[in-house]
Amino acid sequence: MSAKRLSRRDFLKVASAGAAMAFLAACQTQPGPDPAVDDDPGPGDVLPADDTFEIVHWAEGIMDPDNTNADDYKPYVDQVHEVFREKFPNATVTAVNMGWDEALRQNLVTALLGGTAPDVIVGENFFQQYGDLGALMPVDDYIQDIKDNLIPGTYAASVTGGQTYGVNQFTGCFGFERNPNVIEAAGLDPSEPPETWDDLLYEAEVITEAGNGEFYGYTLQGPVGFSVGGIFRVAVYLKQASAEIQQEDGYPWFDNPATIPVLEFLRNINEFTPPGLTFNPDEGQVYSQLFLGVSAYQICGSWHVNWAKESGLDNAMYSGVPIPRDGRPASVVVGNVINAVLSGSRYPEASAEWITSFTDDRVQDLVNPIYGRMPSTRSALTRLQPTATEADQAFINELLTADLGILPQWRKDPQRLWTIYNDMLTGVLSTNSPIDGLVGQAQQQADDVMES
Amino acid sequence: MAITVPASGAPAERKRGLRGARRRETLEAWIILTPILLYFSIFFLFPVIANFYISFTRWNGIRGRPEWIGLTNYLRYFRPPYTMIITNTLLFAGFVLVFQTALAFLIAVLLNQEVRGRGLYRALFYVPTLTAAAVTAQVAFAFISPYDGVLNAALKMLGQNIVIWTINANWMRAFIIIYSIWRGVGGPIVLFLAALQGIHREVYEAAMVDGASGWDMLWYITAPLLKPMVIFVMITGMIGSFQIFEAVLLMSGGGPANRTNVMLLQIYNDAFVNTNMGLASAGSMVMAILLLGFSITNMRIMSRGQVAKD
Repeated sequence: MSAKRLSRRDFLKVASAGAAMAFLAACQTQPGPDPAVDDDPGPGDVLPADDTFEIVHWAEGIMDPDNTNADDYKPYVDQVHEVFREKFPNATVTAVNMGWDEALRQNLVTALLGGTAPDVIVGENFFQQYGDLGALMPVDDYIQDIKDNLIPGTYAASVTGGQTYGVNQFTGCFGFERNPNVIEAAGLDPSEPPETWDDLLYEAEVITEAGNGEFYGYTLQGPVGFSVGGIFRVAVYLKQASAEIQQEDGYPWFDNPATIPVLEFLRNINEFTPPGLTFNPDEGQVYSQLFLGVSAYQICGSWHVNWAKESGLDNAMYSGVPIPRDGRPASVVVGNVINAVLSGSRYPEASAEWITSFTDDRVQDLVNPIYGRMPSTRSALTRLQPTATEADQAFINELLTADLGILPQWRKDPQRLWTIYNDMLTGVLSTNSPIDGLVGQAQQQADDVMES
Repeated sequence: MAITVPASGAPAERKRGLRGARRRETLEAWIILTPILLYFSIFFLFPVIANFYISFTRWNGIRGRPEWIGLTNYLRYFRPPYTMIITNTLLFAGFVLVFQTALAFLIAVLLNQEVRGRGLYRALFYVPTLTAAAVTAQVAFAFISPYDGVLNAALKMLGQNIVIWTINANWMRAFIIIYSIWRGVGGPIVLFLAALQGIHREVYEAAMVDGASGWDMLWYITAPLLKPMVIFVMITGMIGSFQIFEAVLLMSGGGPANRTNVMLLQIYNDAFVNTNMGLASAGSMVMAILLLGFSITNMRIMSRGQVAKD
């Protein structure tokens, strides 16, 4: 076989042509939604009448066809698509799991900068900020007819400037969990949960003394960096005491005098927690101590019911969170999954209809049986109530009757503001410094952030 | 490529041929360089220029166009908490650089000896460098976990009260430095080992004949001959030390009270959590300027003796 030698010049020609082609290929426009960085993208793009079209949804894990439990979730996922197809038979929706919280936000910012953002985005805590920036499309017109059936706390995190930017997919809220074995071991009756903070403090003290280093009265998740895990639970107590840390205009209100009794309560209850556990950054390890018999009481999310059983605690008990003397029953939504339409969506109308499909009764009724989470419409919760387990009843009751709050949504520098609040909480829980001084200092720092 | 010049002919013709050959060479050079120049421009030069421009603007990166605000973003780096963040970065970088380089040098000298299991030791020191930061941070955190960490277990065994390491700024700073040194020392060890193996044995043998002690040989032979490698390790180490990110993110989240927060983490948070691309870009520029300044100073100081000797 004769091999023809390639001259250096020919090689250069071929190489440069190849490089140029590769460069051109790399520079060609990628398929995907229009960039959301345009000044006035707005809805109103022409909706294909006959042609099929695709909506891209950065969705919660359950929607992802690559999910390892996709077969289990299929009935729910199929039902949502079926409801949507009734409105848009030519549309397909591609669900992609792009992570949650920090990872999701990082991916979203990158995609918006790169012009590859999806049509619909899932989330929990950043919609007010993005709504104010004009990155989301208001959906008030699309939820007008169903609004009365939605639990207000479940979409409150997407309401800003008088407009609603998101629709809830499913939700959860905080309740109160107790390990009856530990309570009994301390000589107390586990069948009646503490009703007030005073009851809780008393029982936690009795249990801790009886435990003598073996078990303790309470689990408290403390602050770490700018993580909001601990603040989520603190927010329940703040809500019960009507002690807001954010003013109506969104400005931080860390020195609200109404918060001081709450912080005093936290300082006191922290005395009855396993040593070192409060500041453990591993949330899973913090809350599993109750299942292991190290702790008697804790605030819990609705997912704790299964978690306790899987951890070997079959008789965990659930109730509403104890309230302060002059307080009111209140809770905070958590695991609260909201979907919103990006203002740069190619198909805004269809996208808005897609996210409202999740509120259809047929879909909502499958949330709890398929995924173990809580539906977010009154009708679905009411239908679920009679057949739900005793444990789930406590959470359904909270969702239907308690005043449901959300975590404050900072419009500016959320990381710096949560860091300040967490540092203040650290001071409360680890020193004896006067609390009014600590909150005053935190307010001063927050003012500096807001003025910068 | 060899240039063929006609052996005979008129000078003007020869000149033309020479010029033509030069033009061809230039053209070929550009063709060869074009792909890499394009790559460099798209992925390095353009982002740096864009970053420089954005650093003078207010821009959320989500919507709208950047709005020119002059030096405002840079001025924020002169106010808290950014002053503390820069201080932390310098502190971590300084400690990690000095101790990591010194430790790597000493370990490399030891690993260069004829000892049994030398290959195994060499591999072991490199394992933390090869392992993902998320894993090594978990391992390190197992020591300082406030609830069931190794250190608190030891304190309990000794009948002492436990310490909440994570809310003590000084302890957390120390842990982050120790962790970073442990994780990063493998790279410099390999580089120092390679350099040590390049020193001829005859040099040491001659010194021994002259009565030099082990310390003399280390100080007067090994150290000076490794100087170019020390410069390289110091500069790359400095850049690496300034880029401490995972250790802080995974172990302290920047807390308590920003006392362990570093520039890279804050740049990330400003960009992706606080949606302030202008401030994040200014942070990147400040970091680049600091790194450039330190690298030039380092090179000058370290090469001063070298140049004099040359």
